[in-house]
Amino acid sequence: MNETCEIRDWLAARRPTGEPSSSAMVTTSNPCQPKSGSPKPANVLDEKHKTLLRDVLHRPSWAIADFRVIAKKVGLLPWACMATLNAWALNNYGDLLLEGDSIITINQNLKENILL
Amino acid sequence: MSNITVREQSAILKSLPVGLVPPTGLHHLVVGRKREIQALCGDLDAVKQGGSAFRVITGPNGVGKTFLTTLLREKAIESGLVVLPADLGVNHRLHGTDGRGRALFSLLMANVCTSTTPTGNGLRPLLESWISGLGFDLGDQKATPEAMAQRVFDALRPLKDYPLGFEFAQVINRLVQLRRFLGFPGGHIGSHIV
Repeated sequence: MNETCEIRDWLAARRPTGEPSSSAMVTTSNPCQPKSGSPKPANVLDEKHKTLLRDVLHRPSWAIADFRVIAKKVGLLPWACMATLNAWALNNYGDLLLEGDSIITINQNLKENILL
Repeated sequence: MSNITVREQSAILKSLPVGLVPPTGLHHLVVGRKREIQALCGDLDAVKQGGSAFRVITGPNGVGKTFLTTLLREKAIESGLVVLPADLGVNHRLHGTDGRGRALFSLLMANVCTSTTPTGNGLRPLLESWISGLGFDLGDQKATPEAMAQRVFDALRPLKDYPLGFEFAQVINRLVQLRRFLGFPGGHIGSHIV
């Protein structure tokens, strides 16, 4: 048990970012000692990505063709902005927002927590 | 206390009952293996600093080889590395005839994993993010096709020392031009996190 706690803490310490605070995260009991870490400042999206995010959140899923259209409308590359939005969601909410290839689905658990 | 995301929770609950290794959230389950994990994470650190490592993990069925390699993949992705996992097999060889060598590289390219695409299919987001970064680098300058091409070749210059490096740069340049043709303005495609 001690080694389990030790390796879990050691792995947690290797995490590059601070733990995001979000109700999309479920807290589970852990007998290991809690880690104290300074929270990392939240990343902020630029206006283009904010605009795209507002559009994206209107539907639970997007066909890639439709997603291309709304990305193009704000002058962004579709896969690049998907990566950017996911990186932002990962840093701020601890989970990915967009998933999929031909159909892009929105993480509904995150959607409720996103504040723009 | 430790936090588990809904994604991790779902992956664990789906995988464990059917005897599979969950694709994510393994750090919640790991028991022991301290020396092995520390050694493998040490390799990751070396890779991050430009080094390389080669490990062979052996053991009987059920000992946790897949668990350990999946955990390593998760840690590598968390560290900001790009991971290309693939199973070597009869049809996926390091080299071979009948396209079996190429099949391995196709598989590797299909399985590109990054922090934003942890389950694969990450090549397009990776390339487009890079291209967007180039557009952003150009800033307010007029991003003509020539300027973008020059920027691509400048950025990929170090690759030209490798076999097919020049051809790779040309392919990327064609992709940039195609994106422009489809209507994405080169000087304004900067997608970035401030």
